[in-house]
Amino acid sequence: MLPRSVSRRQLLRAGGGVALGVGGAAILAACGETQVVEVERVVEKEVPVEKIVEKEVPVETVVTKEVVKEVAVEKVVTQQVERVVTVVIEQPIGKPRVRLRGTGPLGTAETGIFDKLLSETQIELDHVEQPYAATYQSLLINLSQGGSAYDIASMDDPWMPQFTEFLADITPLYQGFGWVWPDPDMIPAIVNLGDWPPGKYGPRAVPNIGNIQSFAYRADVMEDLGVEPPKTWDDVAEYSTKITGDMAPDLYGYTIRGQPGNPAMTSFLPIMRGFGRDVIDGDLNPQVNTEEGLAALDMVVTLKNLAPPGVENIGHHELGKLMYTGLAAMSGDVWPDQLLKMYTPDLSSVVGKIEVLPEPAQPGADHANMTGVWLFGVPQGSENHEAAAEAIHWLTQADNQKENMYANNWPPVRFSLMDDPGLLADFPFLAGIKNAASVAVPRPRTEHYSIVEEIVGRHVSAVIAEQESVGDAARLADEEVRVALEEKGAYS
Amino acid sequence: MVGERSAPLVLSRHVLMLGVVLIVLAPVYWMLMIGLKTEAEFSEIPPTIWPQEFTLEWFEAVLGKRGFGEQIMNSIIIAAIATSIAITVGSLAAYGLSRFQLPWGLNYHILFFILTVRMFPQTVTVVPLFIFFTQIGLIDTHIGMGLVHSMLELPLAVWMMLGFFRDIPRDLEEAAMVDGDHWLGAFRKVIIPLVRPGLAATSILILIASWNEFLFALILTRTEAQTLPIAVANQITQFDILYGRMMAASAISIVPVLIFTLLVQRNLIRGLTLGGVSGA
Amino acid sequence: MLNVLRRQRGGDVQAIAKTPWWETHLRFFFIAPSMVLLAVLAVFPAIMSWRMAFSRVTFKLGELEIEPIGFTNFTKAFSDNLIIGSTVRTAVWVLVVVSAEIVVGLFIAFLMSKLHSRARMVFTAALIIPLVLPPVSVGAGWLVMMDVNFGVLNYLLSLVGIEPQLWLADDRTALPSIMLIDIWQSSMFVFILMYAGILSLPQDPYEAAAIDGASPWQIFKDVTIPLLRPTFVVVLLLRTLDAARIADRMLAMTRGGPGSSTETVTLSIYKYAFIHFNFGYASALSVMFQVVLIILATFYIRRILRT
Repeated sequence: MLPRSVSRRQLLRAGGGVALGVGGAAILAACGETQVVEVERVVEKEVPVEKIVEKEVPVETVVTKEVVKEVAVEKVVTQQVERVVTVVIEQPIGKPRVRLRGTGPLGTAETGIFDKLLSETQIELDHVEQPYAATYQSLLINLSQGGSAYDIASMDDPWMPQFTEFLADITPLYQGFGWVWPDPDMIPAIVNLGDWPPGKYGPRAVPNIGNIQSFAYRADVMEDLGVEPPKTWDDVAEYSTKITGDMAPDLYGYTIRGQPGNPAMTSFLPIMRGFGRDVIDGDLNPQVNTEEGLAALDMVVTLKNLAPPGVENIGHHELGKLMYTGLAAMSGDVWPDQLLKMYTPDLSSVVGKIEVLPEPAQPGADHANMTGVWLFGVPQGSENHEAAAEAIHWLTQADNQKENMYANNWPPVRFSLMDDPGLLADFPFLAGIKNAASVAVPRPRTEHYSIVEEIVGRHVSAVIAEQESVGDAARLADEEVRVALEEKGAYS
Repeated sequence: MVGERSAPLVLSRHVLMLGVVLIVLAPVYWMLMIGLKTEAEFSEIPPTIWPQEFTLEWFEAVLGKRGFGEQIMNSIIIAAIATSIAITVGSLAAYGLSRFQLPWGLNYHILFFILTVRMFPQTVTVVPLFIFFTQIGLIDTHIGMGLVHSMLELPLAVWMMLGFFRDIPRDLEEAAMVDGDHWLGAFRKVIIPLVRPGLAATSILILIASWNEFLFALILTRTEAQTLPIAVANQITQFDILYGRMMAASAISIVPVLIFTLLVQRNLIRGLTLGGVSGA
Repeated sequence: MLNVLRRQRGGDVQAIAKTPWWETHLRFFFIAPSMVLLAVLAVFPAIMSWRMAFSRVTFKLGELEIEPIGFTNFTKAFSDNLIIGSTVRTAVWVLVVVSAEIVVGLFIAFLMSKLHSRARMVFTAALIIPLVLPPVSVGAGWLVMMDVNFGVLNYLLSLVGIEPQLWLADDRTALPSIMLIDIWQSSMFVFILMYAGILSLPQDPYEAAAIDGASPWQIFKDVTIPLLRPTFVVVLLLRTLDAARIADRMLAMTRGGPGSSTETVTLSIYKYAFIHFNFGYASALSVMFQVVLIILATFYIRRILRT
């Protein structure tokens, strides 16, 4: 591949890349000998003057069969070189084909972005979709046992601790192109999600989708109640009691996801953290059966009883629906795609009434919005590290990120886009997401998080379904997490 | 079998069956209608029986998706490979086991051994198979997936066909062979026609099983052999469940199997010796 | 082959002498392809799984680290509350679902066999549709229909004055709701096979019975049922084994919830394998699961063979 600096304006007309026309001198020097081929199409390409001056080759030695064409380049004329030679030779480098096993983030994607990638970088992304729920297992198997199966992997941030050891180092790859990594325009907290174990490899994945959990509430309902937006979980409970008491079954105070595992856990984590404790501590000791954990579970029971019926078995889609149909007034488990729906007039009965805040927190505790960032990485087994890095770099550039926000609702990960007036005008909730991002905390950083999530999430679900008492659930969750992690060798 | 032929009775049977079919199909109708409704409409209360705002948005999105055509073809090829292998191999084994006594009680042991395939939760065998397929280059190939599916459905083929073969009196084929036919000819001319309903029913079920198989298709395929169930499941993204697209994809995905079923159906009538009583 | 057949029936020594070796051993050639297919694709992974069952398995770059740890994985299962609960639920599931499906499937099959042949073509194709729907869509579609707030089922109930049900959102009704879906779908599996069985029934016994002047009920009881018995037991066996391995429905609709009220053994195995990535334990559970099914199936088949 030629360095990008050779030509900004692409004059390549070779559709399939059969023949590649290049500045004669530069390429002839690079090729050493003249690989003359039958000329079928003449392709022109501008070459900056400097290159030609440096490596000028007597034209006579190569003209035998080549087509020599003169191309006038504005800049060139002013310089001392009189003409530019365009030689048609066989394409020296094949168009690198990069395969991307995309998952959810690319699941909704319009593939137009890949066509643009191909035309601008000559990299074809053969994107393999995966259903979200199965992506983690498929990636883990393919990245560890699959050899050169994939060149780009798209990963959710809680998976990073499992995956970094299977990923290639981004830093030297970017350096090879002269790019800086980590990119100073990207939000550091989000970039650092790819850094595991902290400081060992450096960030091994490039964030792509700045998905952040936020607390969404109905501003009009708060106004009717004559209260400020909730700051603590106690506020949430208090307002919910009033709302549900006064308005049910037309409006309920709060909604939560009750499906076991990831859904219940994702709703529960901001509550537990809002009480000042994480589900596991730095040494991986489970923390549910603590004063704060029990209080958080009690809060879950309170809120569940004020929620619309049926939340025991709802997931992400249904929670969004409860919000945009105007059946629930608050939720701490709201994500950008759901916000987009709440702002879509065709769908939503609450357009313009939803506001976004950082998660509530009890006095003395920190707000803790969860990250759900998606990152690109290059699997170690890949045979196209450079091309993969180039594609990743291209996909995460500001203009392409912006395009992806419009086409696919992928929130950006760059400072420069967070304040972009055009984006903010079209996606008003981005301002709220930016605030949420400023207090966002990733899920507990350990390669065993999915286990913790599955176990604790099951017991939270059992609490929501009133299958287990708060005390039992907390005790069992801690016990089971400890057994499972012990077996994984987490404490040795 | 069709002893009584009084018109009211016959009619009432048809009406009863029509009722059963309507009950069974009502949920299907409801699901597929989601593929024709706007997102706002499909969760409306009261629900609409027929889309008020008819949309082809989801069908267009699915059909316009890069690779969807290939996924349909992959499913067709893989299901064809799987069904033909499982039916051929399975019928051979069933016929052999129904006709010959092997030493050391092997008949029973082989039958039982084949059945154990259907006793093991396939979850954990995926990873060894993944590693094995990666090594021998069968990963992400039609033939690889077809073989896996035929392996999964072999117990169904063998056990079902065994029953059908056993029902056939041996005298029939012996008579044919005495008449000068080679055993293969007897097999083709006498046995096969008699088990046609069984062959048809079993192959329909194997085809459906291969068509809808998810776990192996998920792990063992990538670009070249990804099948429709994965394409349908891909509508569950990390953001949302895209119900409209999912149901549109499902509606498209049932069409080839229905065509196959209709083609095979003429075999789902009474076998030769029973020809006289078909029809009420 | 005729010779082989004859030999089976008591021996025709001369005939055997004349037969080429491959025809003498023909009986082995019939089963050989099956055995090869299974040996390559089923036995190898199964052996690997058995090995993993006694090991701690770690996914390393480019290899699977398998470190033997004896029976630890097996003993752990007996103190695992999730597995104990799952086992009970799976047993209930199999009993309810299989018996209901057999009844419904048989009913449809018999009714179908008495219809006009054109009607049968159409109805059979229609009844297959639930089986053909992709499993993920079946789960998602029923999830929409059973939605407490927006679902069509609660709407229909409200029309007849019944108050909204929680369906999947209540730990008491969640499993029955999924059973309903399974019966709706898998009864058609029973139907297809039993229907083919009915169509393949030999005709002679019926003629004989008709000559004897037997009543339709007597014919059904004394001719049809005994003749259908072999097909029936196979269908029952296959359906039981498939029902015992249920997981995808729960995975698509409830993830085993609320709490663990729809958790089945295979779903737990799936979670241990693919969420915990504890392939040792998941393999041990699979092995135990298989052993239980082998014992049950042996018992069941022996009984059939005896009677």
